[in-house]
Amino acid sequence: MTHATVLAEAGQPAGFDWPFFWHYLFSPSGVFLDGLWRTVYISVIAQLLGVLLGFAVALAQRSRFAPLRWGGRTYVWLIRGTPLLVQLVLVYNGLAAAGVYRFADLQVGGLVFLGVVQAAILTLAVNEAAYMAEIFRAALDAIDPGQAEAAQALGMTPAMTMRVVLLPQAIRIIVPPLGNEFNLMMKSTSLLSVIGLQEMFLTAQSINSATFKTFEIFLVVACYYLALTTVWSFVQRFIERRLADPGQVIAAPSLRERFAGGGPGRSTTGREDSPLVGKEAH
Amino acid sequence: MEPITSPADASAVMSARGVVKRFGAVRVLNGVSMDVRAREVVVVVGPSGSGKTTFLRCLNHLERIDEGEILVHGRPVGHRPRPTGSEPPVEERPKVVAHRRRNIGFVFQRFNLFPHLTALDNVAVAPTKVLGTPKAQAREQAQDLLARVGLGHKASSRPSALSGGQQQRVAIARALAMKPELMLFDEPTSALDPEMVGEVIAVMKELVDDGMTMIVVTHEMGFARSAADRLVMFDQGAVLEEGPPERLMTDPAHERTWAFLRRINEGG
Repeated sequence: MTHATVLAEAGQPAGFDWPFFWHYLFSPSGVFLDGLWRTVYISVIAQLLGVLLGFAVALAQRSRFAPLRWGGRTYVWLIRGTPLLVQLVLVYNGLAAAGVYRFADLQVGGLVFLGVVQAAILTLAVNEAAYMAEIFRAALDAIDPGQAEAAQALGMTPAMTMRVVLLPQAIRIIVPPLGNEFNLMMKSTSLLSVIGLQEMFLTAQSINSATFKTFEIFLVVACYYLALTTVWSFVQRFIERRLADPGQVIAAPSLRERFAGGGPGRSTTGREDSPLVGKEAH
Repeated sequence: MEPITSPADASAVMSARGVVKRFGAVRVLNGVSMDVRAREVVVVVGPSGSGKTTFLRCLNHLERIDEGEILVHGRPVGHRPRPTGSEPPVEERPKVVAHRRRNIGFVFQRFNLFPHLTALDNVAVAPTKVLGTPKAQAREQAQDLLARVGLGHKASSRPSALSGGQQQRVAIARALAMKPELMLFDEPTSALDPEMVGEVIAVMKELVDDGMTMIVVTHEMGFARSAADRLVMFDQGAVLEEGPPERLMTDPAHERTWAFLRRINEGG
């Protein structure tokens, strides 16, 4: 008996099981879709909370009260200085083991809010807030100090200056790194498998232990993460266009231009006539 | 302890006494005193680094003073009132400072228009948010003010679509929207291309004709000669001399004033 036949008789797949792959890619099981759904809503809620908390931390860092500034900096130092994986285990398993706090399932109306989901969203949001705080800080620092001075000179209070003048300008700067953060957030949810949260990754693991189709099932998982981040990148680009200064907007290139590489400014015809080309060359 | 200088004049629109401002170890203002009466137009000149811009910024508390007293309409802008005038200034709460700045207009060298708002909204935003003027009314006033500075047709333009001179005129309209009783101009034409200086100066002259009280830091001696009631020469963080523009330009008491004015006349 050859080695290959032994494997075949033991029920091991020889090579890549394409039918299995296509099946899970295009008609995933209900369990898998539940996992996918958890990945999506946990990412969205944790990111939203992370943005709000991050803004609060950034404000604390800019406060005129020293203890608040110190608190904000300590927060960022602690959270950014430790791995998310460690934070997750500490919050969910650690606190319970120490008898400090156990995340229990909550029932709101007809919905059950699992304890592990609460712990996951809380930890992801707290973790995200540290990074968002730095993004807010950088964006607010990037705005010309003359903007805040002009607002103050018009009699605006610091809160009004932030709301009316600084924040609308900061948001435009924040969207690209925020998009990055949300992309990372969706992928970070795979870490939730270690605290036993049935998101997409853990669901795939249980499918794997039942079928041993490791390569196929995790390739399906990779495709779904890629699909999520791809959809998000389109949403992000849409938001960026909406926020752009209408005076400086560049028209969205058409699909044909994207693939053919043509379009305004890059056209190969009429190069001599374009006054821009000569300037760019220098 | 006796105050070194006479107390600030509460009847003047703006009254400064013994103002000292330090940046670290450097004394940028070295005991400046000045009074400005209602409807008076004062032009402040002086070499770069003489403290004239810092002084102007102190007047609406964009800079904190270290010693002395500044009263606008008889009240300090950014400090608690002090009974004897000699104790160190105590900072007011930001909300109070904001409230007291309402009737002081400030025009910046670099315009500082809000780039995310149209010209109209740049002018309408402060009355709406700060004074609580109904939006429709604030926009109507803003449209009138833009027309007054010759930019009625640019109401829906963003600052990025306006020339420097147009931006500065919008900035003046924005300051006027708060109905200030005192206008401060910090080198309003020095960031402009030469051909745009005239349109901004013209708007400022109209304000003078309307009886606005103004303190203008500028090197535009033409404006000083034709519009100013008083010319103040700053040097090394203090007032070197002051008087009617014609006298300072033709017969200054100090050699440094004469040398400085001759230098900027050659440049301009």
